[in-house]
Formats: sequence, C-alpha cells, structure tokens
Amino acid sequence: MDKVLSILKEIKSGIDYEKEQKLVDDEILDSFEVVAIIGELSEAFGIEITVDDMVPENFNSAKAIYDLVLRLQEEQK
Amino acid sequence: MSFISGEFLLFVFITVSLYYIVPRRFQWVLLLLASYSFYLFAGVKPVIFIVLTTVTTYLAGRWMGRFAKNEKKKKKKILVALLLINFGILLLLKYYNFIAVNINPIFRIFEYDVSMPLVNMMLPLGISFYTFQAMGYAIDIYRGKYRPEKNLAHFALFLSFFPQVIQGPISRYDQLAPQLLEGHRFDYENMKFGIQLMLWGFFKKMVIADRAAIVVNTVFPLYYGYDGSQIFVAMFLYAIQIYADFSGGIDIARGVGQIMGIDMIQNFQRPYFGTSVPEYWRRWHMSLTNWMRDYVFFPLTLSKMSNRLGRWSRKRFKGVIGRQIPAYLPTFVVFFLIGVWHGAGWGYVVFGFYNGVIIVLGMVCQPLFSVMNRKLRVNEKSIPWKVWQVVRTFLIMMVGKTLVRANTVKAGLAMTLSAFDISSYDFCNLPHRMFHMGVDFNQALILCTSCIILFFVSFLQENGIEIRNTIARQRMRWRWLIYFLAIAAVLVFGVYGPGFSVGEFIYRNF
Repeated sequence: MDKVLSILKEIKSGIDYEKEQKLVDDEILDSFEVVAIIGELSEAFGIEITVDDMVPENFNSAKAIYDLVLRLQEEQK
Repeated sequence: MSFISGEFLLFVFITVSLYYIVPRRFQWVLLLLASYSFYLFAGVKPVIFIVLTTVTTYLAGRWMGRFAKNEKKKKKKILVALLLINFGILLLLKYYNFIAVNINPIFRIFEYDVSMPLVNMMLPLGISFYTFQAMGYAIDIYRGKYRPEKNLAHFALFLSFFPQVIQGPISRYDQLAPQLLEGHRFDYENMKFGIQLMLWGFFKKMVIADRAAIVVNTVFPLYYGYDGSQIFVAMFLYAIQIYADFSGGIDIARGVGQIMGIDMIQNFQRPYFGTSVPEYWRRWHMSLTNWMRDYVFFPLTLSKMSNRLGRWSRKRFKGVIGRQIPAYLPTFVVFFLIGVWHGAGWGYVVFGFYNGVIIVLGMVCQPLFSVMNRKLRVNEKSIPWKVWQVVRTFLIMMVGKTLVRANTVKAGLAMTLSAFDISSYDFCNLPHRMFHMGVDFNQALILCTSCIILFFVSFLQENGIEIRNTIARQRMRWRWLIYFLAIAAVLVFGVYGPGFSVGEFIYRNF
C-alpha cells in the first residue's frame, strides 16, 4: 500500500490519498494522470493493466488501486 | 423537424400527453413510435440508415453475448466487422467527397488516369451521434461491461429516442436504456423542471445564439473589410454563439426527457470556466470527449506498443516527461478524431491538430511553468490567477473555433492576427463602428444583456447554486414573475428569420 501511495504522491501531490474516495468521479485525477499512474504501477508491480480494468471504481481511491494491483498480481501469476 | 418550431412543441405536447395516458408498461412502445415518427419527418431514406445501424449492432451484440468474457478473439472478429460496416457508412456518407477532392490532384500528379467522382450524398440526421452511441454499446458488450439487449425494439428505442437522436448527447446504454424501458408516473416537479430547462435552452438558442449569428455571419465572410476590434468582437461572439446554440439544443433535449422522468447525461458543464484546454474539453460536449477517452484514448495508451514505449520513455527521460510520452500520440489521435467528427474539411483537421499541440505542449512545459510561477511568486490559488487562466483558455478556444468557422484556415489565421494586433484597431469612431456589424444599438443591447444573464447564471451554477431549485423556493408571485419574464424574453427577443423560422442548430449538421 505504501508503494501505491508513494506513486500517487509522485504523480500528483497535495491530495490526501488515504481519505479521498472519489479520485476519478470528482475529477481530482484526469485521464493523463491515470495513464501515468498505470505506467508506474505496471513497472513497480510487474502487472499488465488493460482497458477492461479502466473503470472509475478501480481508481477512485488508493485502497481501490491497491486492491486492483493485488487482484492482477494474483491473476497474472 | 427543428426543436425551434411550433410543430416540435405540438409533437412534444402530444407525445407527453399520450405517455402519461397509456399504461406504464406500454410507455416505451409509445416512445419508440414517437421517435421513429419524429425521425420520419426528415424523410424515409435516413430511416434506412438508422435501422441498418440498429439491426447490425443488435445482432452483433447478441452474437458477442454468446461467448464467455475471456473468449475475446472470437468476439473481436464480430466487433471489428461491425465497426467497419458502421464507421464505413459514416465515412462514406460524410467524408467521401472531401477525400475525393483531395485525392484526385494526387492521382493527377502521378499521371494516373483515374479520379474519384464527386457524388451528391444525403447525410442522415444525427448519424454521427447515433453511430457513436451504437458503437459505444457494442464495445461495452465486447468488454463484458453488461449483457446484450435481447429485445430488438428496446434497442431500437435506445438509439432513436427522439430528443437525443439529432444532436445528442451520446448516451451510454447502461445509463439511458433502463430509464427508457421502465414506466414513469407523472411527476409535477419533473414536469416543472423539464419545462424550465427547455425554456432556458430556447433562450440560449433564440435570444443569444441566433442574435450573435447575425454579427458572425456579417463579419466572418468579409473580415478584410473590418478592423481588428470588430474582428475580435465577431470571434468572441462566435464562441458565445456555438456554445449557446449547442448547449441550448441539449437543454431542450434534456428538458423534454425530464418531463417524462428520463434523466439524460450532461453534455456541458460551463466549458468557458475551464482553467486549461484539457479542462475545457472535460466540460465541452462531454458525451463525445468521454466516448473518445473510453474507446480511443485508453485503448491506445494501454496497448502493448504504448506499454513498451512507456517503459523506454521512463528509463530515457526521468520525471514528468518520461511518464507522459505514451499519452502524446493518443492525444493527437483523439483530437484529430474530435476535429473530423464535426465534419469533412481542413478547418476541422487543423482544429483537432491545434488542440492536440496545445495540450501536449502544456504537458511538456508544465514543469517549466511551475518553476516560473514559483520564481515569479505567483499564487496559483489566488482568484486573479484563476481569472487569468479562464480568460487565457477562452481566448485559445476562441481562436480554435475561428479556424473552423472562417471561410478558409488561411482566413481564420488572418482574422486571428488582426484581432490580436492592437495596432490594427481603428480607435476613431469605435462605438459607431460597433453598430455596423449587422446589429443596431437595440439589438446589441439585447445581446449584451442576454450574454450577461448567461454569464451570471453560469457563475452561480459554477459556485454550486442550483438555479431551478432556488427559483422553486421563492414565493409564488416571484416564481411566476420569473417564468413570465423568461417566456416573454424568448417570445419578444428571440430572433426570427425569414418566414419566422429560426436558424438551424449548428450541431444538427454534424
């Protein structure tokens, strides 16, 4: 989880990622930032995030992103 | 049938009356009949095209639905065939002549004795809107987002729903279809708010857009006869016109939907309050930009090739640029498509490229801007800075829209140079010349006042004030005074063209 938080803070600072629950719905993160986050996550965790995973629910909070990473790590073992 | 006509109001009145008379389980049937009747007003031939898109998309959806979520290869073949058929039709009808005009000289250069003949083709109403809506549905089925619709008539209603079929918004199946199919009881609040929204749309279209169009249509074709200040005013008014025109039409469509208890998606969120070009695009024609984001931008940026590029760029360039590089090309592709979606012409191509360049340059230069702002001690949260960002974004978009609206791209560039060259301003008799652009003093006064009202309402909405709820809370006499003034404004100050028919909606032709 710390790794996810550090990636998020590096891409866009000044947001309380531990509390925020609507990162995408409230347009706190735009499409370009989501794409940058995906690039960093893919490299840091060795996962492939596909367009099927591109639903707001997967990116609305740091916890949701972390859950996505865990799920993809499990699926892509 | 134009939204701005007595026929349309009568059509809505009859449809809504019947909608609440028939049993709720048959309301969707009535909507389907009303929608196809509405479309038939445009002629029989256009119906063939919407039926073709409906049937092919429905069948492809059912076929893809037979395969499991992970059987993507099989589903992909069906999807690709469907996309080729439907985008092929759109390409042929909308862009064939443009391609022919531009490709024939190339044939001649290489001395090939062939040429593509120009064909006078009919463009079915709303084809760009319903084709994109249908293809969005098909891609969602391919991705397994939801199950395909089993009932052809249900699906036909989703694509042909009469308030949206001509100029959008481009709805999503999971948002709109359930609302169309479930029954709705008559609700006074929905009726009241729906009529208010329609009235606001009529105000934007008839009082603002069609009046601004007089100045635009006077100055743009003969811009060389006007000085920089007049050209600037015309460019400014075109930006206002196209917003009031398109968003007014959407308000009317959404208002009709709301009267029947159907909540159609937002298409505008006060775009001219955007503080950057990307933010402007998140607020303008949102149903199209969201479509492009979900079905073009994300697939391109998450493709295997893009992933490889991303890995390389993150190693090669540290920091922001390394992360952003994979998004550059998809950004250009998206804005090229948004440009040409609007029509076949070099102005649209240039408009798309112009937006792509500005957005990518903004991303590349972002670290530099941050350093500059820190050195200059700019408070990025201060109101003056926000105002500057809003004005800057508006001017950038105003120039972009001019390139499309001008007779040629070259004329658009000449107008822009003149408008931003203060030395080309003729300050003698400035007030006098302002009224030699197609409107007299009274017309100009109405236009200014109505633009101020539009700005004021938008400003309140931007600050979280819901105008219709605020009006609803007022005492009855104040409420009705506001309604009366709004109706009177549309009836008295609406622009009525020859034969009392108002101007066409600009986006109706896209």
